[in-house]
Amino acid sequence: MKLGLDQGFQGQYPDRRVLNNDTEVVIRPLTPDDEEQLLAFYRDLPPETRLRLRQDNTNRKILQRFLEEIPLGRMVTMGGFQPEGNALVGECSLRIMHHGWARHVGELKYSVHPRWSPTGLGGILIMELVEVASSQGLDKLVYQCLDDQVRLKKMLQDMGFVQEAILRDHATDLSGKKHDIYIMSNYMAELWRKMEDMIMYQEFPPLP
Amino acid sequence: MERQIGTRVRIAGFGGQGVILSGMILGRAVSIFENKHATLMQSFGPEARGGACSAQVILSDEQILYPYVKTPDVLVAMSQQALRLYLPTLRPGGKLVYEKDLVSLDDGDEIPEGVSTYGVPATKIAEKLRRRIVLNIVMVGFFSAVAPVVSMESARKAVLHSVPRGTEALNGRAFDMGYQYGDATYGGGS
Repeated sequence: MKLGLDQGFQGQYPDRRVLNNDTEVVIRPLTPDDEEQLLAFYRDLPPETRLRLRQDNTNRKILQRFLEEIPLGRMVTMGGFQPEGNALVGECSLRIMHHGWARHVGELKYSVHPRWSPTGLGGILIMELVEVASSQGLDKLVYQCLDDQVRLKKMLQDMGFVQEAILRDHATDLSGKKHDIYIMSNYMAELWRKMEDMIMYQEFPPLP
Repeated sequence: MERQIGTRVRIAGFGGQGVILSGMILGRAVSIFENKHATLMQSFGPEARGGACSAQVILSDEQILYPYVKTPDVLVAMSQQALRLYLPTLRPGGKLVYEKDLVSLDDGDEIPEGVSTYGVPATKIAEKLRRRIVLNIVMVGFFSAVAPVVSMESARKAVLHSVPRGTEALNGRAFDMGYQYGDATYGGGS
């Protein structure tokens, strides 16, 4: 099945990772066959977390529409599973436009169960998709987060995202409350050029 | 005659491999995160990218009065040319840390007596992370596993403080993969 990944990527999953709390998690791309696990994951989220979901993924029809995007190559979704029982504990998705003026831009979003959020799983899932995006030739990634998602914003900044814009009162959460949206962007090629520049500058400093 | 202070390390390879950054990270790990002393001297050929490049690092509990390394205790070789040039200077009984796919030990170079050798496929590991540029960070992770003159925690912290903002996660992973390879293959060195 097409998972929006090139063959080199498909070969490396499932992958086991050790989290900050020394527990293991299995990372692999999701397919439409994971519908039940994804539904169970979203339905198990506490109400305060569900409030901030961009769409109500506890609704099976909405979730099915989301999963239909995967075989079409418009979405790559990476999941984190508990090794025992195979329960999904977090997912991150990358939406790719493929055409139009934003065809070089990918959009990320993720959800991790609060029990697993201090473990660094979110960062691992995002990093996986940053690398997928890079391999697909995307130049820029964006993430829309809400004004009160302070920890998420900090994590994105640590991964090279910068705040590019604020859309005032642009989101209404599931309780009806309005929020500002922070558009966070990551210009990937530029970021790694900085690393290369740093190495070259140290090894071949300009002549005085 | 060179006074024997601390651990003397020479890191050598091609320009553009991150040789100097590796030396800087080791020095930073010891001096900032372990409150010890470190010096770094660098030299590079007149050639542009791809030319010879080396860093001399001394890591010590006491003040270092002479920063040049003539007979290193540890040689980190990231190119065949670097191995050929600096292997004869490695102290007998020292450690040779090398990049397995870029350096061959069967190429007629005589290894000084009692030298322990530690190879790592750092380029392959970096390619697995899809950023060949993190090759040097993989080497630093591997170094901290097999030549424990600097703790893994300090070296990792120094990596994260030395790389551009936004690249910390991948560089941290590169470090971890290098460390894990060293730990699993050589059981933490000696």
